[in-house]
Amino acid sequence: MALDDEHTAAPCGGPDLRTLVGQVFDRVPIVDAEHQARCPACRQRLAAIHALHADMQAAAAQPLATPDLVRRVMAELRRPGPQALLTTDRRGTTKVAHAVVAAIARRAAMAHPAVAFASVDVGERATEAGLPLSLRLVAAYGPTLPNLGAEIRAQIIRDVEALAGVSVGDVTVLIDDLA
Amino acid sequence: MVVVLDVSDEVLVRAAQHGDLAAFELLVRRHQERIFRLTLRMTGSRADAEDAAQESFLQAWRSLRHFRGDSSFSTWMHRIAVNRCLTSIAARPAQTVLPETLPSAHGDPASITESHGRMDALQRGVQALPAEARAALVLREFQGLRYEEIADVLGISLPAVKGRIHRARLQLIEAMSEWR
Repeated sequence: MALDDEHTAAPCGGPDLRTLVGQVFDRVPIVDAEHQARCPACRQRLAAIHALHADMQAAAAQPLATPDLVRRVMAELRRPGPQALLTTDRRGTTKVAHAVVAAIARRAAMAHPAVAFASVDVGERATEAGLPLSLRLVAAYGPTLPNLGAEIRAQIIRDVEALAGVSVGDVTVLIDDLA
Repeated sequence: MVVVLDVSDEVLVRAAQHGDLAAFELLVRRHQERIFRLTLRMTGSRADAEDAAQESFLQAWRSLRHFRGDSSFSTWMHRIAVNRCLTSIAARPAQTVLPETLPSAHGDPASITESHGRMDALQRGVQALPAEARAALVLREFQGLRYEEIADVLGISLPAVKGRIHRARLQLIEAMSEWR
């Protein structure tokens, strides 16, 4: 079926293609039922549109065999994430999730007046020096960026070591946008 | 144990936002079939669809604190899933991915063969649509969303939604007429 321009009236004087499709798919009321019933061109176009509509409804009704997503998703969410060990003695162990370390670092960065936004990633494994962190920042325009990086690095190390008691290793700062 | 039925999505979302995993599990159970239907029709591959659906729910959990209830949880999940599918599709190597045959209804052998053929042809036609147009069409024809909801999910205007869907339908009519 050749597709004529959807917005021009058909050569037979009948409705354009967009109107016909709207009739079938969106149940737009038919304006010129008599013409459409008599005109072979309109009938042919309508037949093709109806056929697609029927096919789509049949496809939409097909049974799916949905996999057990609940089990997979919940297993992943219930898996304990990476943690840093803080203290352990005969009465018990204290661990802090890496996500908490990341949150402390993020707040330390965002507390700086020249930081508009920060996000923090914690490295999977601690080195001898400590947990590696990497930061992405959106900085305000103005401050010298290398100085800004150094200031934020120092503040993060102070806060994480004081609040979480976790040694911080390399802190990589990426300033990837200006506010 | 008391099983509470008819708890609204809003209540479950609020509980999940406070860290209630059991509430989130109920949400996943409620929405998994619809989201899987969406990712299956978008990606055309069962394996990709399962991954996309699973990742969408995981992302939803991680992003729950950003969900403010401006739209329904369902609309929000659809948005996450569509974006994940678009990313997955864009990352595919530039070769044609043959869609897997989807399960079809029962019937006599002759009509099964014919309906298999038509459904396969339709599936191929849907997969041949550009990804953005496919998303709009799938949301309308397979997910049954209203045009306004689709505009919300895709973040485009209502006229843009209608235009995309209309062009997609025309492309499918063309594809199906060649098959017949």
